[in-house]
Amino acid sequence: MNGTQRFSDEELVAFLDGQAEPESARAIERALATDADLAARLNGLHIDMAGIREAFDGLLPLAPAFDEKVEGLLPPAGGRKRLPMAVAATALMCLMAGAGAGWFAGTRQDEGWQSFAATYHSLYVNDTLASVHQPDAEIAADLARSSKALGREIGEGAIRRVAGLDFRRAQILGFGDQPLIQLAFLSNAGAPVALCITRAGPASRSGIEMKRLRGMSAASWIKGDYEYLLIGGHDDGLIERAAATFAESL
Amino acid sequence: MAWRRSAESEVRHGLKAVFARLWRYCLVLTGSRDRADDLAQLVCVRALEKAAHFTPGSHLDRWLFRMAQRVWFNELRSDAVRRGGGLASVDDVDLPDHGADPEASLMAREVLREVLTLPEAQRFAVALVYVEGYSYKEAAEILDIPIGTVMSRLAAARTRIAGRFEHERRGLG
Repeated sequence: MNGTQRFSDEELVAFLDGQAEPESARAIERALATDADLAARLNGLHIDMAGIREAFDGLLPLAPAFDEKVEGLLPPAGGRKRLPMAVAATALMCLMAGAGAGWFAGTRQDEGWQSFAATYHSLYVNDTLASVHQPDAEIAADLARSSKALGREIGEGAIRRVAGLDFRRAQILGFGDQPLIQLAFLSNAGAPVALCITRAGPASRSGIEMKRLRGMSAASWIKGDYEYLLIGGHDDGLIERAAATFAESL
Repeated sequence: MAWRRSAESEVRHGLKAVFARLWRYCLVLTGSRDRADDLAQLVCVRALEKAAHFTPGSHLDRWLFRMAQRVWFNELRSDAVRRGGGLASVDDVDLPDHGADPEASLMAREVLREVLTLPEAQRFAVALVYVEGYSYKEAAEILDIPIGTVMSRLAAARTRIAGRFEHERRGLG
């Protein structure tokens, strides 16, 4: 029997890697003394280990600087999480999709809740809401729960006042230790739009400010101890008009 | 509580030392620098949240590599495939330029390309054993597969690239 047939490729690789069982290693060494085919097989499995390691070591300097890019994102020692992981994970999934590559790396936590809400909303597509048709009783119950979490009334009449935005559902999210209510709409053009509401900091007031967040039309304002962000699609006119209506009705 | 504080402190203070290697493995996992940036950062955040599960005094690097593996496969990979139209994107890895020695630079790029274009299961095994220097047993624990599977993946990888390496070496020499 030809000796080379006695050893599998796995055994030979383990031998080359110095990780073979002692008995197997001794058997291979003994066979090598007389079996030229075995030596050829071993030679055929040889790779330049030092070359691989050296080439990959050349990648290490390309890693982002930990101090600049990571440390600021970490939760404080013994402290709370700074953003709900569900939001962080969905935000990251968006980034992994390449839609916002590099954004996570460059974001600092003091950029505030609107950045995260915008990232969360950027995952919405028409299909996210197109099939959502809740019965009236469920809508009323969701709005009641959202109102309770937020500490202020969110009336169904007030949120159905904008022509061109069809209300679909209310969700209770959170940012840090504050509730964040998301009211989701579909525009007549089929774009998902969200009105996000959370508590404002002390003594904050501001009128409607139009902006663009993650490529979407957005408007934010502060009124009555609450901050509002209306975001979605690319129709600045719709967002501006809707923001004016919500700012008055809510 | 003391255990938890100790574990968290060890994870927090150990992250920086491991981070570049963790990022490099994330690059092998994801096949792109942007995704590697994001995955490595998420693993750091997740590691601190899960620090209570880390055993102080054990190997933080292996724990982080295993976490990166799980986060990538359980949470992110399918979405990346769905949206990105596949993962065969290592070609867009901006490989480093070794500058002063063009021949060494070319060789390093060829080696990286050869390894990074292996089928992913083989690529992970090669990275853990031949780049990171883990034993078969340690690599098996990180990948959550039997040792025998690690060995077969390494054998397949060696068979595939051995000839190419030798060819390149001779061609450049």
